[in-house]
Amino acid sequence: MDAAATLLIHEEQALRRTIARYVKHATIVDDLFQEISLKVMRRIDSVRDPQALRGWLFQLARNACLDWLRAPERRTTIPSEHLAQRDAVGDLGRNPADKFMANERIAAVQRALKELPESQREVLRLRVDEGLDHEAIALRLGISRQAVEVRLCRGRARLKEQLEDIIQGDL
Amino acid sequence: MSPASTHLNLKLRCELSCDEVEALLPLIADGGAAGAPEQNNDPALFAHLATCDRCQASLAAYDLIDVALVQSVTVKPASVRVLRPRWARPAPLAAALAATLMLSGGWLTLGTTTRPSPPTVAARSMPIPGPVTVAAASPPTIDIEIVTMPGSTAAHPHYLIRRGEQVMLVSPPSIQAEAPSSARQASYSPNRY
Repeated sequence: MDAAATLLIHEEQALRRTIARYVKHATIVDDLFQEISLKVMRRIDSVRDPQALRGWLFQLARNACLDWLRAPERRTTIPSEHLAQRDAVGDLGRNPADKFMANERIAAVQRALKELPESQREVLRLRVDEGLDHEAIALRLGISRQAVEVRLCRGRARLKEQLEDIIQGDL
Repeated sequence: MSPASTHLNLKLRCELSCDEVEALLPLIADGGAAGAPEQNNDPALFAHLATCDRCQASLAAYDLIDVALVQSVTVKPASVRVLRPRWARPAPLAAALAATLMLSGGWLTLGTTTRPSPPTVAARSMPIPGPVTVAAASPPTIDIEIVTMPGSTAAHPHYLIRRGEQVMLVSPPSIQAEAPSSARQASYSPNRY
């Protein structure tokens, strides 16, 4: 048995747990597990240090989950007036990650954003909305890159704190 | 000291505590910092993440918030609705009536008989005075009110159209004829129907 197969058999449960932190629907967990398994088979040779194998596998799984969550079709927004209707037919809210993506959660994020100090909110907006890197944000705001990183970290940490209850239901 | 600098110091150590990792999670979720933790440059950190449920859950929370943040800047709040003024929400027939009157252009232009020449390039960028535009992406400030008259039936509807101090009573025959002169003008009454 080759290294990839051995690793996948050994780490399957941990891998599934990791995926399930992002998407809870069993079918999607299966799909993502298959996708990650293929990537492991193709890329395992790129890992030189055996000690780094588990970390590499975790990052691979995380990236696959984030790619899935960020896929354009997942970003399709549903008008709030249709939420109940689509819930009723089971098209929406089929898993916690879906629910998190639903408009009500987005509204919660928007509310939490408003609660942030202006300095943190502005840095987050430039990072997320305009996609600027830290250096560009620093130039735009006339502050140091370190200050940008501090504000981003504090802003994110504060958002997580404020949204803890909402996230708890999803993780 | 910035989180990235802290990360550089932590890299010198092999063992990381959950609290130390927790401090780095926003950086990992952000992914854009120079010297931010990556699997290639910090295998020890990711090895910790691979085996620590608490830190994994925390990172997933940051990741999910990040995804929602991206969505939140692309989604308009659900509560925002475009409210049209009363005149912009008449019954379909009344709307058609109004549109016909606007197109015929006679009565509401108040006797202006000269046909406007095609706009020049410069003129196109300027608002063209004249009949009120029905399409209301940005509601005009001209106050027009369309009221269904008492006694109006589906077969014989009658509408009163008020524009400022000017009032016009119209019925379907006057619409079909598209003749503003056939519309009977009534004196303005402050009483609303």
